[in-house]
Amino acid sequence: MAFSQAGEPLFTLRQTVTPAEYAEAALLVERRLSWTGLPAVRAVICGLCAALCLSAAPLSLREYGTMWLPLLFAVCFLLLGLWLLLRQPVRRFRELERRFAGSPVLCEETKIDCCRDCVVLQTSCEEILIYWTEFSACVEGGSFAALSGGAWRQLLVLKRDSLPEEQREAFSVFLRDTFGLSSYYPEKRGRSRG
Amino acid sequence: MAEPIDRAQTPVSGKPPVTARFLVTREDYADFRAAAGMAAVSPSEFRLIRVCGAALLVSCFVFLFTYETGVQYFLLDALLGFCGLFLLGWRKMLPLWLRARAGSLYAENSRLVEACTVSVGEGGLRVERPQYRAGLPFEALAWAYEDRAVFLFSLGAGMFCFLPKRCLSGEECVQIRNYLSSALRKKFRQEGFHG
Repeated sequence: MAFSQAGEPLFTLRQTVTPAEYAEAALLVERRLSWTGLPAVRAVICGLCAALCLSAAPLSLREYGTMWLPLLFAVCFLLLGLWLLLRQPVRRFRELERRFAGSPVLCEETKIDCCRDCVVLQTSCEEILIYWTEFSACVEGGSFAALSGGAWRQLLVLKRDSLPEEQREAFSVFLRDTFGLSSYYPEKRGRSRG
Repeated sequence: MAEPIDRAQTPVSGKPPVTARFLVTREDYADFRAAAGMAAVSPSEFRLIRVCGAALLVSCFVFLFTYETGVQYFLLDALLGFCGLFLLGWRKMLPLWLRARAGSLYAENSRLVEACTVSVGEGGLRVERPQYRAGLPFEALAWAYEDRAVFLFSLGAGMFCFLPKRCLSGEECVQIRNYLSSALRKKFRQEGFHG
């Protein structure tokens, strides 16, 4: 063990994360931690703004003799909403893929020892110890758990596939117990309430 | 998995690596955050922002002398001028704001007070902190940046190592600069520093 204070590992993962997996995990974290990160929510906000602009059209006609300005704003909001719903998630995904590919140390094969109090990462050029308390949240995805907010890894992707099948359920339980109710987000069902 | 290897410190021409041991002070942390923030904006982006600021300021004067008078128009014009000045001075204000933010973060977070050892050799970079050890060849760096106070090494995806210049002699700074320029070429940027 690289750091004596880490203790015995409870789970050991050996994994190489791909840009697509990193981007998927990062997007999942963004969307689960903040409701404004959801494209549908952003699109609905734009739709409401467009409706507000349209409702001002009669007033504009009465006061200024034209409806062009509110109509123009309404169309702009609608287009923005469509862009946020359809194009922006794709662009963000590609941006996250580029961010990952631009970091050679993230692309390396990593051995991850999950201990009681901390996680120890080892690559061919780095050894990192991060206490669980340094992470702000743990979000479970389909085949991975994404931890956000670590000092040397702002996003740590733990691929459950790299564990033996019989340990996967126990690993999820371990993460849930470690992060507790307030910062553990289980797969799909929203925030854990115990 | 093999132990982290020491590729970073393999001497080629026999010159020993430059090594600095330091405790991260509030000033160091503020310098680091300011450098990271400045490095995140490219010179062309700074130029574009300055041009926008100048355009707003010019339009402010044009409107002031050509359009109708009145308190409402004057206030709108003043707002335009203020925005123009803000954009023109943004490059100077950004490090001040970043430093102030870093200062308060440092005061709140005692974990940032750490002893660090950083060596830079011909093969790369070696970093030792209580929770982080690395022997990074230059190829593992996304980019590097130098300003008047720090050398900043980016590992990409928001991960950084830094080396404050207060721990280095002038000769050591030149040596590190030479290593970085020859290994990283265009990925090494220098700013706000002369000599």
